Amino acid sequence: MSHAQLELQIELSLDSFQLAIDYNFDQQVLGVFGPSGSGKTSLLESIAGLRKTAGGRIAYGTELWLDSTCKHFTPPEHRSIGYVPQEHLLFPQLNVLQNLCFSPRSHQSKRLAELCELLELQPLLKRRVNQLSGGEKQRVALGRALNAQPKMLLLDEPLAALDSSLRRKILPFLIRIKQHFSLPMLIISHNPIELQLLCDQVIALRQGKIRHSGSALQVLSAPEFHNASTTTSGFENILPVEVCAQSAHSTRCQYGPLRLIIPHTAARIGQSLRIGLPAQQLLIATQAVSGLSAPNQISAQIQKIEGDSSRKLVTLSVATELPPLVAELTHESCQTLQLKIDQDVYLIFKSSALHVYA
Amino acid sequence: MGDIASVVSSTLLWASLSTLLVMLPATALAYLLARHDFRAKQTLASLISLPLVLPPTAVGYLLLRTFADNGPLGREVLGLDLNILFTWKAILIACSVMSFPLVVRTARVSFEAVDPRLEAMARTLGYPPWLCFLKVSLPLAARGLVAALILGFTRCMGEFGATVILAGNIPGRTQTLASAIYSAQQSGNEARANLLLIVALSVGFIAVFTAESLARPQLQSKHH
Repeated sequence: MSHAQLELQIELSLDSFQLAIDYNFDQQVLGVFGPSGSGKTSLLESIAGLRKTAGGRIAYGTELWLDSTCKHFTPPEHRSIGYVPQEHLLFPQLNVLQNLCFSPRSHQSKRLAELCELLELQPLLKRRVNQLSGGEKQRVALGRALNAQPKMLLLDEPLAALDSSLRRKILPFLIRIKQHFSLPMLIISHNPIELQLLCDQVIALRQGKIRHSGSALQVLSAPEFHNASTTTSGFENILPVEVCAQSAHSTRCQYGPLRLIIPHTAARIGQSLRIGLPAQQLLIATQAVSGLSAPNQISAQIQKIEGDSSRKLVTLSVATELPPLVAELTHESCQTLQLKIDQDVYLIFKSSALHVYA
Repeated sequence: MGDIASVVSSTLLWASLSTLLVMLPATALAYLLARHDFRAKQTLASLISLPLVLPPTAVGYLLLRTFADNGPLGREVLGLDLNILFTWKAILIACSVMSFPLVVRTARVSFEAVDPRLEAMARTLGYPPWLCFLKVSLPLAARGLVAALILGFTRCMGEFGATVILAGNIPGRTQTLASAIYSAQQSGNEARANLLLIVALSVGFIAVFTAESLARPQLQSKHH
């Protein structure tokens, strides 16, 4: 689906470098990725109109928000942007319901009931902000932004402040928001899973400049960002699959022409799921192996080998119509196996290594 | 006895009126100093604070020169007589000038304690700056602002040096609690001085206790 175009030509002096962004975007979700201190939050604040010193041109559809050549600046209250900063910034003097209805634009919104259901806010409405957990604050902040009827949503690391179990809980809410409101979004994230699950395009910033842009997979597997994207749990391949058979202990899924066995998941036959396959959990064998406990074995061809002297990221194509998968190996195993570009290999993984997302 | 009641009630009235007079400009100035950077900020902040560090009699003398017949706000320059010196109006002016810096400083701190990003959020949610002030900054700083006004009020209650020079110490006309204690002590009327002292102690204690209890829970809630 095509969206109104967001034109970004932003120049802004930051403490130690210049933010210089020139990018046009017309899909639904743009991911902004990059090491901390690369200018991501400043970019979002410039779009929201909170950085008065930003120069250049920002336009969204037919609206002009900034044009420093003719000294045009639309103040933040007239941009109708839903901004969800990293620290939630809920109003502490108000309860949850008052926070949700804070915006003057929320009065004519018929969305409140819908949002309460979507974000499961009903039991929280009477609570004070300091009685909420991190995940609850995040949901309220999302609800407050959406109830103000925004034309665009800016999310600054929506899951960063949450621990991994909470992340797994909030991520489905973000996916629901993406599907439910056809609203353009910009998401700052360090998390490869989030970026792959949510974003149509990703830009990677370093020192205020766009270093890479493209699909999440293309950007995240760029060697320059390898370390940034694999600091905690490592790179994770995200595969959209369709459930095709259920047995007592496992679920069978169709992924393109491939059949995968995943841990048993309560899902209907025909239901779409997204599964996460951590790059560190992928084994590479140079020939087919029999008598293995791991049930998934697929043939693949090596496209790229990148990385440093300790870790290597191997990009493999598994079927012509599917995006490549990324496996992480030690430098040593790469050498022992004598892996080369275009070599045919087998990818092996246990079903228990897979994560199942909504 | 009746005369002590009238000294106390007029002092309370003058202190309240001075506090009301100071409230709006001090709040506005405190917000300006807390939120905006401008070139003369340091100079302005120092000028406002001067009455805190100068001897009150110096401030009183400066005000006397200002409102004297040949002063910049006097009869000869303005062409009309404001009739300020040695009246209740002089008391309000002296008290306002002396309490203003205290109110501004306390209010400024309570505005600075409000996260400016909350105001930015209110902007993105659709409010222009003045409504962000009313809907976010003012309610969040409210306890501190009330504490600032109470401190200002107590400063007015206790004002002596500047008031005595600008308004005199005329029994039944411009005598305040502070100047009444001074007169009683000077004339050796110990019983009257003691009584006035007890009143001063009680009013002071109640005011400071209220200001303290307003400031405390705010600090606690921050640690949540």
